Amino acid sequence: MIFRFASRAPSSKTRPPVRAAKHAGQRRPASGLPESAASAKANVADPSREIQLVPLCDLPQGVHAIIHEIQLPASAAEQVMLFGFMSGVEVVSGQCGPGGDPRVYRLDGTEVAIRRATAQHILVRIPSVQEQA
Amino acid sequence: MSSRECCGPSFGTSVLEGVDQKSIRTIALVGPPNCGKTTLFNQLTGLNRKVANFPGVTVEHFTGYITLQDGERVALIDLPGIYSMHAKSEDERVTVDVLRGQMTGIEPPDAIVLVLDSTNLGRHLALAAPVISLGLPTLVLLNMADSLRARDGHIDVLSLARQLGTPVALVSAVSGEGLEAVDHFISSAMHQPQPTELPMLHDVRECRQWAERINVQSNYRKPLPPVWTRRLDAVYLHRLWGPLIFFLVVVAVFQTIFAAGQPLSKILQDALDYLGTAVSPHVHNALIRSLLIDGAWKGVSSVLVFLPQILLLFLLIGVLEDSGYLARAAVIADRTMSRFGLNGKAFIPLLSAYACAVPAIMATRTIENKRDRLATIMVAPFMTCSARLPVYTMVIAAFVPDARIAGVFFGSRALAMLGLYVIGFLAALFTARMLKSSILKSKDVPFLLELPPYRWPTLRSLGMRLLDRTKAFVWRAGTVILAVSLLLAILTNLPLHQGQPPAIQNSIAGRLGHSLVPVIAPLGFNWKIGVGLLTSLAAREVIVGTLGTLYGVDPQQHAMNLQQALHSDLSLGGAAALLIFFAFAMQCTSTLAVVRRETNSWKWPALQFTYMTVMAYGGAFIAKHLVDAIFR
Repeated sequence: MIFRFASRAPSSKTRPPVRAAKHAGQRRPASGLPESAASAKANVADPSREIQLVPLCDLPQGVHAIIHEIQLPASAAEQVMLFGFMSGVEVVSGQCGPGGDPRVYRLDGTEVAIRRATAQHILVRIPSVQEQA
Repeated sequence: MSSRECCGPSFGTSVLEGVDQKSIRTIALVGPPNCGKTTLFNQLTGLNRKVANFPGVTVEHFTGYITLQDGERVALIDLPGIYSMHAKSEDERVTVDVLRGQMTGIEPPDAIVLVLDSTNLGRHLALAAPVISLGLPTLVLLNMADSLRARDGHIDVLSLARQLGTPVALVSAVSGEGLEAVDHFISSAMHQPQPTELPMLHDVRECRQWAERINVQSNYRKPLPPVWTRRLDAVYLHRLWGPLIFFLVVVAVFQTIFAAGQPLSKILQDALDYLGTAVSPHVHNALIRSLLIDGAWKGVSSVLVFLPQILLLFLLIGVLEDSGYLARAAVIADRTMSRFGLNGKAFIPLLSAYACAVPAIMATRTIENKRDRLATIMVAPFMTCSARLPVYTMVIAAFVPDARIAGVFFGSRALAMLGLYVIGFLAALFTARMLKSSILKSKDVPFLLELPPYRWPTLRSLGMRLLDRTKAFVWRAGTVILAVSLLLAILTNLPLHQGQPPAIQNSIAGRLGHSLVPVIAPLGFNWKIGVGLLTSLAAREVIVGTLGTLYGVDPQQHAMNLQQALHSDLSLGGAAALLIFFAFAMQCTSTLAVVRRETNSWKWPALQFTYMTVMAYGGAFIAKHLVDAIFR
């Protein structure tokens, strides 16, 4: 009992990004993102600064992230950009509707609800612990 | 009401005597959605256009006039909110067209008042770039100054004015703080803006970076996050509590309408009856007395008594809209809506259809995708509008015994009412699903909804809504319903036989009703209900007035109140059929007219009318036979 509890609890804070990154890989195997190259390079230099790209919809509630890339058609991309979803912007995942869709994201001091179908095309990176500090 | 809600203003109808129209200067109010343009407009002009705490309330241009201190009158145009100068939806197109001077009937504006939310300048300031680059004299108002201060935000107004090359003022449209700046600006020699720099306008990113630089140079300190909004959202958007609270809110609305509305309605009824009996002895001619008191007055007063229920409904909707809860409700309901193919932006128009389908259909202008917009227009009349409320209340009060369900909290009548609202909503979802999977298929577009911070509804805003609604309701009772009631009273007294009115069945109205019987008998309706269905084509609640008149004139039912009389005319199955018929049928000429105007063709309103009538007849038929089979 104790062992199982102990093995789960400490990892729960660090695990989401890893799990989510896997998700991202599964969903878009042929996306040809620079992520693999970037993370590989980063890995060599400093494993703790590894860039993990996660679709915004998989960002667990309360976790901060930085928007990395928007993979939407031009008109849709412009629309989300008008609401502040742009690369380099910090975003925090907030509350959601029943079943997790749509979800509210906080960015730039405002709260915007978007559907999962849109949020899965916005890639974010979760800054490492050092970066956050 | 449609004329007041739908018509854009025109300069041709200006009431200014002896003033050359060219000499009236025009100022356009521009800004992002939900930054307080209409609140400001109301403050400045003394008008009361509808405001609420969510984006997309204003969907058309509206002109009001203000008199400056030096006596000059200028026209102020309130416009729908925009995020950029690239219009995607119909409401944004209105704003862009007016600003570019391309709107027919509207002179190009002489100056612009740009309203921005000071608590959200990071994003809102980006709109300043395309607006300033129009080259018109511009005043920038940073609204919600009180919130900015309360949440410890700061901006150096002078520095911002230097960067933008325009006058800038911190204001609060709600309290009126700082609004003298508008007067100063218009009276002064207005200059073209001279910003220190402007970004490439077509590049959203560059506009944002420009805004960010200017914010930094103007020492903008973002306000602290709204603590209470976060706390409330933690509950209202909670996975479990959120939907539960949503459901309880809906139930509470109906229970209040019944529990508080009925007694108030009863008091009003007594007062109106008293008025009728007090006037009656002073009308000496028996025929005229019958026409005016038993006919017209009974008809009008039987509708007027529903005023308390309608006002309660509007009060509660007003509280939900002004507080900002509706935006949260949209988040909770979105999954259901998207399953049925409805655009996320359809929620707020559909919700406003609970008040009236006409403004709801106007509000669909915010939906960018044409097919999504059409689908929303097509289903909006299924949402239970307030004109159905008198019909539902009348039939339910007559046929559903008042019993308590779940303790003191919820009554059987409120439950029946809630059921009817749910049926209307389900019909809307079903229809949307059908349309979206056949003739109105479209690709999904991103749905983004900005959640405004919660605010206390202001008494002014709520009071204005109620006043506005009372006027509209009494106006309708005094015009359409009075005219129909009077006409009907006359038709029940014709043709005269040797100077005497005929038995009611043999009157013109009686024969008209009887001619409908073959069609409506399968639904359990008699000729009186038939006449009511006919007159309710003008507007739904007219049936209540019509029945009031018919029962008032009919000597056999004269002494009964409306509910007792209805009981003697309808079986339980017939009552259920009547309710279902009204839930589905498209009996509203104003709605048809606005659908025709917004879709720019007769095809859609014709399709809508046919579809809804067939559904109403079929539904009523099934309801009658089902209820008769169960309760016999």
